[in-house]
Amino acid sequence: MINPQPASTPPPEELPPASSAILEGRASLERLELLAEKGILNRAGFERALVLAGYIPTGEGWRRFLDYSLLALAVAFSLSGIIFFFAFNWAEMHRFTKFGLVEAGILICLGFAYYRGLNTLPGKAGLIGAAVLVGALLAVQGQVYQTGADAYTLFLYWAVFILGWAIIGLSGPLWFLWLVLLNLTLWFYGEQAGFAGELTLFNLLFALNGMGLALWELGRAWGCGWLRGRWEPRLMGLAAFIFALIPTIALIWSWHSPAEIDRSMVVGAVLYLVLTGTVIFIYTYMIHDLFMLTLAAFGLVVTITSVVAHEVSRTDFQASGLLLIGVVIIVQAALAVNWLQRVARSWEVAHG
Amino acid sequence: MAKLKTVVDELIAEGYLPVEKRGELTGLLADEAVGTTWYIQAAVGISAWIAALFIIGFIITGIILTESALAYSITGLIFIAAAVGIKYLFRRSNFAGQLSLAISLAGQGLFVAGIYLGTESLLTTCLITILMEATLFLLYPGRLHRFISALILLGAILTLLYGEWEIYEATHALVILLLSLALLIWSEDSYFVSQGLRSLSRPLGYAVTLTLFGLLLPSVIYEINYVKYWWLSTLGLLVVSLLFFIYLRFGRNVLNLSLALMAAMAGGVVVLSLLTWQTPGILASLILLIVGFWRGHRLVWGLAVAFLVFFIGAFYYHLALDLYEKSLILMGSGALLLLARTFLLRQFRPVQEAV
Repeated sequence: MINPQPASTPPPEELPPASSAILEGRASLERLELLAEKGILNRAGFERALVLAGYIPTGEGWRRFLDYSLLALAVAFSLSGIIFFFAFNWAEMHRFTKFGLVEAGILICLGFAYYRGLNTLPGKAGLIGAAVLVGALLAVQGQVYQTGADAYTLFLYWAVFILGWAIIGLSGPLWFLWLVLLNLTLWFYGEQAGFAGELTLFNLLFALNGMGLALWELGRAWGCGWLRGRWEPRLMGLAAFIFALIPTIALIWSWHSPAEIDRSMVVGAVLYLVLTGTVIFIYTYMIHDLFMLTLAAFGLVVTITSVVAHEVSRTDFQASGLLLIGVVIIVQAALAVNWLQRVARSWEVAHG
Repeated sequence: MAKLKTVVDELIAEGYLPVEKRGELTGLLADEAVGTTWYIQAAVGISAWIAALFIIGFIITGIILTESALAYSITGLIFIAAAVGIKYLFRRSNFAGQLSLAISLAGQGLFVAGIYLGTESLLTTCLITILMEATLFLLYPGRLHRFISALILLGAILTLLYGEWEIYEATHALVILLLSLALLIWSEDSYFVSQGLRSLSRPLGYAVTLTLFGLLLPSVIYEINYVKYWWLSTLGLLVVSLLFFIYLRFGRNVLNLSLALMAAMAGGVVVLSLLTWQTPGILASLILLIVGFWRGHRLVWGLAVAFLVFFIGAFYYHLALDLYEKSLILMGSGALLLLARTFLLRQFRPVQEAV
C-alpha cells in the first residue's frame, strides 16, 4: 500500500533557495529513478513525482490518449480501406481517373498548405505531402504509358517540378527531400548511363552532399531561421563521410599495387582528408556539434583500421593479426571517446 | 517536461519530501555521471563489437583446430569469466561494457556448443543453459546482458517444450504466464525502483514482453501451424486482463473511472476478443499498450504499438475475403472506431486525478 510521508514541512516560500543549478534542469526519468533508488523519495513520493513530471498520465492525459489513439486508428483503418478500394479497381480504371486521383491528392495538400499558411508547421507538412505525391504522379505516368525511360529521369523531373515549392516553402525538410532526389538522380544516372567509374560517382556524390552541407550551414549562419534543424545537416555530413571513405579505403587496399590505383581514388582520399580537417575545425570552434566530430573521429578509426588490416593481410601472421586489429580498434575508440568528451567539457566550460 | 525544481518544490509542499533532503538530493544528482550522447555510444558500441569479433575470431581459430567439446566448454567459461571481470572492473565504461557483452555472448555460445557436443542431449544442454543464464542474470551487472540472458533462458524453456517434449499446446499456458508476469513487473515498477531492483526487473520485463509477442507471432503466420487452438490464449489473455483492471480499479484504486465506462470498455474488449479469437496478439498488444502508457514506459508502449500494427495488418491480410470486401470492412471498422471514440470521450469523466 502506498502511504505518503507526513506533511510536516514548511510552505515552499520558506524553503532555502535552490542550492544548485541542477534543480533548473529537466525532471528526467533517470533522475527521478535515482532519487527513488537512493531512498530520497519513497514509493509514494516517486509515483507522485512521475505524475508531476508528466510520465504517469493524469485523468486529462488518459482522455487525450483515448482521443488521439482512437482517432489515429480510425483514420488508419479508413485510409487503408480507401486504398484497398482503389487497389481493387485500379486495373479497370481509366488512365485519366488514375491521374485525377493523384492530382486530387496534390491539390488537397496544396489547398491545405495554403489554408494553414506556409509559415506554419501543418502548412509546411502539406507542401511536403504535395511534393511527395508529385513522385507518385510521375510513377503512375510511367506505368500508364510504359515510357521505358531510365529511372534517373523520374527523380530528375521530380526534383525539377518541386524546386519552385522548395524555394517558396522555406522548409528544411523539403530542401532535404530535394537533395535526396538529386542524390538518387546522380546515383541512377551513374549506374544506368555509365558516364563515369564507380569511384568517380562516389566523389561526385560526396561533392553534392558536401556542398549541400556547406550551403546549409552558411544559410544558417546568415540568419535563415528555417535552417536551424540539425538532423538534415548531420545526415548530409554522414553521407559526405561515407562517400569520401569508400575511395579512400579502395586506395588503401590498392596501395601496394600501383597499377590498380586510379585518379578517382587519389581524389577521393584527398577530399576525405580535407573534409576531416574542415569538419574538425569548424565543428570544434565555430559550430559546436559533437555529432559531426564523432563522424570525423570514427572516420579516422575506419581509415587507420583499414591500413592496419591491409598490412596484416600481407603478412603470414593472419590469425595473430586478428588480435592486433582488435587491439588497434580498442585503443582508437578509447582515444576518440576521450577526445570527444574533452571537447564537450571545454564547450561546457566556455558556456559557463 | 517539467523542471526538476518545480517537481521538488511540489513534492515538498505536498509532504512527500522532507525539506532537509533537498541538499542531499542536489548533491546526489551533482555526482551522477555525465551522460554520453547516443551517437557516441552507438559508435563506441559498434567499435567494441568489431574489436570483440576480431579477438574472438583469433581465439576461436585456435579452438576449432582442437575439435574438442571440453576445449569448447572450458574456453567458453574462460570467456564468460573474463567478460564478467571486465564489466566489474570498468563499470562506467561504455566501450568495456560492449566489449564484455560480445565476449560473454561468444563464451556462452562456445560453452553451450561444448556441452551439446559432449553430451549429445538436448535436455541436458537446455537445463545447463537455463542454469547458466539464471546465474549470469544475477551476476553480470549490465541491463542489456540481463535482457539477453532472460531471452536465452526463456528460449531454452521453449526449446525444451517444443524440441524435446513436443508439447505445442503448452504455448497457451506460457502466454498466460508471461502476460501475468509482464503485468506484475510493469504495474509494480515503482516498487522495484524504490527497492533498488530495477536493474533486474526492467530487463526481465522487456524479455518477458518480447517473448510473449514472439510466442504469439505464429498465430498470424499460417505456415507455422504447430499450435492449433489459439482461442485458448485469447480466452486466457481476456481473463487475466479483466482481472488485472478490476484489481487496479478496486484493489489499488488507481483507475478513477466510472462503472459505466469500465463496463463499456470491458464489453469492448470482450467483443474484440470474439472477433479476433484466433489472433490473440491483438489483445496482448492492446493490454501492454495501455499498461505501457499508464506507467510512462515508452519502449513498452512503442513495442506494443509496433506489434499491434503488425497483428492487425496480419489479421486483415488473412481474412478469407477479396480486396473489395476487405476495403469495406476496413472502412466500416474506421467508422466504428470513430463512434467508439465519440462515446468514450462523452463518458470519460475522471472523478479525480489518477495517481
